[in-house]
Amino acid sequence: MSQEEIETGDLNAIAAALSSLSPSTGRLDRDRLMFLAGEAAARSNLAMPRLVPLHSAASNSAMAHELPPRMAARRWAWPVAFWTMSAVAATLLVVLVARPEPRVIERIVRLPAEPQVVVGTPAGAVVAPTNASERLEEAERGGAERPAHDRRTGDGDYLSLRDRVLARGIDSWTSGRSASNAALPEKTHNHRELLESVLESL
Amino acid sequence: MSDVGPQQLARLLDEHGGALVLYARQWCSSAEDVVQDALVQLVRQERTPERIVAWLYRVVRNGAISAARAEQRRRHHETDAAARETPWFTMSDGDRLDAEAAQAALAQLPLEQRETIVARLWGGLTFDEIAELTGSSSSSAHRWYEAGLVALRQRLGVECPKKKSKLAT
Repeated sequence: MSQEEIETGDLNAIAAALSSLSPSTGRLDRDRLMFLAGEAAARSNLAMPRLVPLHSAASNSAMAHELPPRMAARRWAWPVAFWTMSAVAATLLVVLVARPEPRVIERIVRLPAEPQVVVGTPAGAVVAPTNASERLEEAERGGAERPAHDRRTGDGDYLSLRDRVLARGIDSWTSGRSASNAALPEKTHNHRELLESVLESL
Repeated sequence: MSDVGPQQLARLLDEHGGALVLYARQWCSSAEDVVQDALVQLVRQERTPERIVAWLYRVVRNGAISAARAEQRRRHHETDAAARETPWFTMSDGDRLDAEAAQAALAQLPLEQRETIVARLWGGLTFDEIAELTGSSSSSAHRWYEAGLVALRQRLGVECPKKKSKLAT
């Protein structure tokens, strides 16, 4: 007699009396249950075909329960897709985690010099100074070296004159102009100067 | 699919159908539907459970609790009245207890005691299986079983057999 039976020994009488009662199955329909069970079994066979070895004796009868290839492929499609996507996601995660730090490469880049502005004709090839004072010195130094037509009408003359006026005021323009006119003896501006020049030539 | 064939299913229905219905009635009024679903679910299983009877009681318990919740939501008083009128036991001449009185006395017990007594007496489950079924310990199941039997004995008027004294023997 086990310990369990010893402890419940006093209650054996009521337990035996109760056990003599048969529980009612109520409205449990046996035929309907068997029908539903058969239906469930048939659906289970369709949904999950068994893999029967070819050499087994029951293979012929089991072949009738196997699914057509199309349904079998459909059944495996989702699991295969799921595992494939999981593998891809895991691979990407590993790559993301194990990615090396970006390398810093120091390299000296030599940039080309600023384009130089060439003033004047190509034959003259005068390089314009970069600031106003240099341009002014250049204008004062090379005024006589320029050709006559450039000295009168060239763009370089205008630029040097502009720089000079900006640097030294308007008086420098008039003095510079008189100095440049002195280099042209044949050109006169009024009748007195013209008269004096004619008298001197006599 | 499980290996449960029609013959085994019929045998399970004959041997445990009534007890399973009685077990499900401790929660809901649609006990027959719950048991039927459990048996159909057994057929659908890919692998046959090792302990079929214990497995059936577990499925019936879960189904009955779900059905009870659904009935509680619907609040069909007619259903409750019909459940009370449905006899839990079949009448036979050889019964040592009045079936209606036993049903009434059993219905008055707390749920844990009722559940344990039905699973033990009519289901034949061990206390370990009942403990696993109810999510409790084996000692708790044993305690509920004893307390329920004591209460039933008092309500049904079944006298205890006189203990034999050790001195007399």
